[in-house]
Amino acid sequence: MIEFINVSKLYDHNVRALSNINISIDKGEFIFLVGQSGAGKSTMVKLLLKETEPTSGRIYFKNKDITKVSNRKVPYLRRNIGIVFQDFRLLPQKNVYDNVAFAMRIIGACNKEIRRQVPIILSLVGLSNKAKNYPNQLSGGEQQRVSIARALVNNPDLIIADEPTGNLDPDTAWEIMKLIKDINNRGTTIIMATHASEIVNYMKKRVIALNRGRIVRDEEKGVYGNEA
Amino acid sequence: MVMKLRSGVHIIKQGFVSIWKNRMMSFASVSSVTAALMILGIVLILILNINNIASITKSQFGEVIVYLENDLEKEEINAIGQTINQTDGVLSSIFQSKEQALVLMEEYLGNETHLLADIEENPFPNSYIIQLKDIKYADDVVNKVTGLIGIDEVRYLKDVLDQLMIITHFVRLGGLIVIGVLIIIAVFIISNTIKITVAARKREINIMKYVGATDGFIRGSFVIEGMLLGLIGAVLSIAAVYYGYKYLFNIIKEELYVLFTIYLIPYSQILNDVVIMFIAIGVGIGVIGSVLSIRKFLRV
Repeated sequence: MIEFINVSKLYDHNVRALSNINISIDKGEFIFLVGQSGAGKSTMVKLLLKETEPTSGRIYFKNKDITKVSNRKVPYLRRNIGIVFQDFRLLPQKNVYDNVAFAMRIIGACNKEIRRQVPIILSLVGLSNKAKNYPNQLSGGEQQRVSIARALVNNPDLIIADEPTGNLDPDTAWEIMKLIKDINNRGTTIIMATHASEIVNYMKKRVIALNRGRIVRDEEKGVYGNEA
Repeated sequence: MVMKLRSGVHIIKQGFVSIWKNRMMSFASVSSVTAALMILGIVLILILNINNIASITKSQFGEVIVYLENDLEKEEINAIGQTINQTDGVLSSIFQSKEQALVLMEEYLGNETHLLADIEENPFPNSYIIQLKDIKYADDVVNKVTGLIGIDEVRYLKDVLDQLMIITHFVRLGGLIVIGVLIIIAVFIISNTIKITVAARKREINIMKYVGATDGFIRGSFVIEGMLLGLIGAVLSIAAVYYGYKYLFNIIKEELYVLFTIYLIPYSQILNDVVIMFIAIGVGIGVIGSVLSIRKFLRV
């Protein structure tokens, strides 16, 4: 479903963020993207979201070369991708229900669809009883569940999670991981950038390790490793 | 299309919600629109009234009176009339005979006609009263008519009219400049206010972009908000200007010289112009302000 072919990215002043990346990710896979800060994890995420363009190489998403997608079409590309951030990025003046419904409204879903879909997703992430609460009334774990619900509500093919447990205590982090795993079991592809070695080692999923912009390891049922 | 319509309805609804949720910033924007439009309204009413006074005065003084020599034959008088009517810039002319002039004077004097009793011969000359197409032809017409044979004197209030034309010209020009400056200031204030609003909602825009909102959708929601803010400001300032002027008008009418109000434009007459103008300007600056201020935040 996702393919990076000879992808390199040079930022200004010749800072090489990625060099010659080649990976292929199938539908339904669960990928951990590991590496130190500056290893190129966030550049890879940005490339997939088309926030930035590769200096060379091609990136395929659902058999389409997204480096050739025009800027005007970027929103439509992003509708296939749900994003979960470390800092949740919820709208503080909207309640839980509206934060999730917002993602559907933006793509022009009708009220009927929204009223059907949002409660299903909220119950999936275990927040049915918090629908009317505002983000500041929720714990970190609950806020992250809302942001996962928002990422999930439009049934994306791919969910990108950028350090989703970074701001959470260990117990809450495990609950979130369980939720992400459940979502993966329903068939959604997951790419998760993380520093949480315990989680990576326990989950036994495919691990892609980056170091100074190069892939140093790509293994099934991998572990966190010491290069990262 | 249905999808567009659906999100259109939603955008307008969200506009109101968001104005309420960000009510501090909304209040600031609406106040600045209202203040700018109110000043504009005051200047506008001043200009309209000065214009009105000028045009009333002009029509009162904008006549050229041609007094004829006393010993002309009827044919000569008619010939002069024809020449006058064929002169460029003359709208029409009325012949006023010695007898008519005397009658008018008697009417004017009313009970005091005895003042004329001692006069044996009618002292008034025959005359033509010329209406000009426009004041600017006055000099030409006066020069041409003065050169005709059989003319005793040509009279018109040149000085008064010249002054009046200069004043009207400057009032119009000055008014336009003031209005232009005010509109620019208003756009600046509003775009600044919206810029602060937008900066405060950078996060929201950022999230919208990540969830897959198109630039059009994001811009649309802010533009609608700007429009609504401008509209609210316009309605408030229309009410303030209209009722303020009505109040002043009535004070002038009751407390001051009643006759003076004939020079003022009635308050009912300004309402239409003010409504159309203010709503157009209010909505316009709201839209321009939001388009200008959101542009740089869309690049995510």
